Amino acid sequence: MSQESKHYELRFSAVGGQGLITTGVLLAEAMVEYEGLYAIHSPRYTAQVRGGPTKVDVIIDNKPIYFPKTTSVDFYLSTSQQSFKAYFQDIKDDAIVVLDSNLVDEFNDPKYKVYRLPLIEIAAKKIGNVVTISTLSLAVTSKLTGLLSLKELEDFVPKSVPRGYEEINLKAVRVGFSLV
Amino acid sequence: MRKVMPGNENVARAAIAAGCRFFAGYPITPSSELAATMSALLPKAGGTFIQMEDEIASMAAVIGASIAGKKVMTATSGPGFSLKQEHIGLACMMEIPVVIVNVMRGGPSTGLPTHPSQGDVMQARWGTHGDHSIIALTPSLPNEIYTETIRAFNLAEQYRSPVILLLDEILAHTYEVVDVPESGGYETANRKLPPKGLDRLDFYTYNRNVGDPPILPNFFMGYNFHFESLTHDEMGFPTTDPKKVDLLVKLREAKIEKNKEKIWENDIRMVENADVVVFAYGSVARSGIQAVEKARKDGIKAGLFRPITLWPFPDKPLREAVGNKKVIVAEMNTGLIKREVERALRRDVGGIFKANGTPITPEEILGRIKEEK
Repeated sequence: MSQESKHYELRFSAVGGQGLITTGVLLAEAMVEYEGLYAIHSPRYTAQVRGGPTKVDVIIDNKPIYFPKTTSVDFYLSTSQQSFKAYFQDIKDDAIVVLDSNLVDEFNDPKYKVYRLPLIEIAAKKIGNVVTISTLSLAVTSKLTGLLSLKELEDFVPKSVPRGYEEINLKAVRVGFSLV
Repeated sequence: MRKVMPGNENVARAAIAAGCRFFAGYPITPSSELAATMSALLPKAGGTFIQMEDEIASMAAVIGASIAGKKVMTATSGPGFSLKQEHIGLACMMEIPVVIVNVMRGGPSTGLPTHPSQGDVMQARWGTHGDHSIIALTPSLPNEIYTETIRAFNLAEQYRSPVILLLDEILAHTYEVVDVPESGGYETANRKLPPKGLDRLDFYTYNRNVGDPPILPNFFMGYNFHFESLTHDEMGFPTTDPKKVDLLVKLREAKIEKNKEKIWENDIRMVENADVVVFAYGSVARSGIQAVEKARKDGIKAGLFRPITLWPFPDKPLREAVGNKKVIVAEMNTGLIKREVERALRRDVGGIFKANGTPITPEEILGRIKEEK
């Protein structure tokens, strides 16, 4: 994030129930707690409890944020082909785009820095619980954007997840940081 | 307290700080997190949370708890707000302090449950039948949502009236930084009660000056007093005597209309030397602030009129601030409040109206400012 502007926009899109809304909440909370910045998390989902396209916008700024939706996205992570397409708008030309390689089709646009990772498979098999997709995505996002350090996440994540799930989420954070 | 939280949680925390100790509700998107937060926090504050069988029953429950002396709140969204209207009228008629949060979503009917709207602004004013006055607040910013929630309780207590706090899906669901003193830093108002040991209460209830709210007893104070939905006399019993009916109508209306100057809160920015003024409230006003600031940077003299009290409508302050300047009304409906702006200014005004579940962006308002200037 450049020093003079301190304005960064992120978008996460998924299918309802996949856990990326939680990623957005955790990112916004951590940016406020560790970086002392303003952060907004603004979700959009459908009336379907599970299965509908969802997205969450996260905006980080050094000044109060008025309009809570992204208009010029620096970072876009998606774990669903349908949602990826539905919310592929207002993405900056040099944006970082992270896609779940099992769930989103090939996408090779040289305008973007594209990363393809089997995120949900890693959460389920390598880490051992699919719900860690939230913290795994948080770690990948932090590493690629430089918004939060591994040390900050190792402090923040255990106190932000349900009791009994601290260790497995710490594992997700470390795996996420080593992936990219 | 500096904490990242959604508007729904913000309102719940502020309500407890304002002294709310009873909540009855029935969950509905996009207000459900408000009830969920109250269910977690209210018992710890010594209060009572009840999930009722529906919205009608929850409205009745808060009225009962208020008469028993508690500060009370319920929360809902469009379809539930429709169901609550009958009992909102009961609270108007019996002059009971209650705070009703309506988180607006697209309607009518179940409409767009997860998308924002400002389509209930007229329902907040006129949703219940019969002549009545009411107060409705439309905060826009995170700290203001907190302080306006506290003010909603204070106004309800001071004027013995239902107060409607209008949010929309964006304000309710957006997690953002709320940075407010935790508690103790806020003035909280309590309803006036008659002293104990009086023989009769009629002096306190209806022989009041036009413009004063009534002084009514709570339950369990030892007084025989009748809370009645029919038009009633000074002891609370039904009457059709035109003189008494007339007086009651006038008293109920005047307690709010005569105190408008004290109830109005407006945020008026850079209007004095402006060529064009944006009129917006709730979440849309945030796009308005950003658009006006950008316009000023681009050398355009733009200003903003942002009502925080929507009802009673700020006609006089709007007239005084805006005069003959060009006005753009921006709202997430088909132009409902535009009519009030036109009534207040006694001329036609333009605007941006959107009722499709998407927000009005700063760029849209800025574009319109550039067309108008």
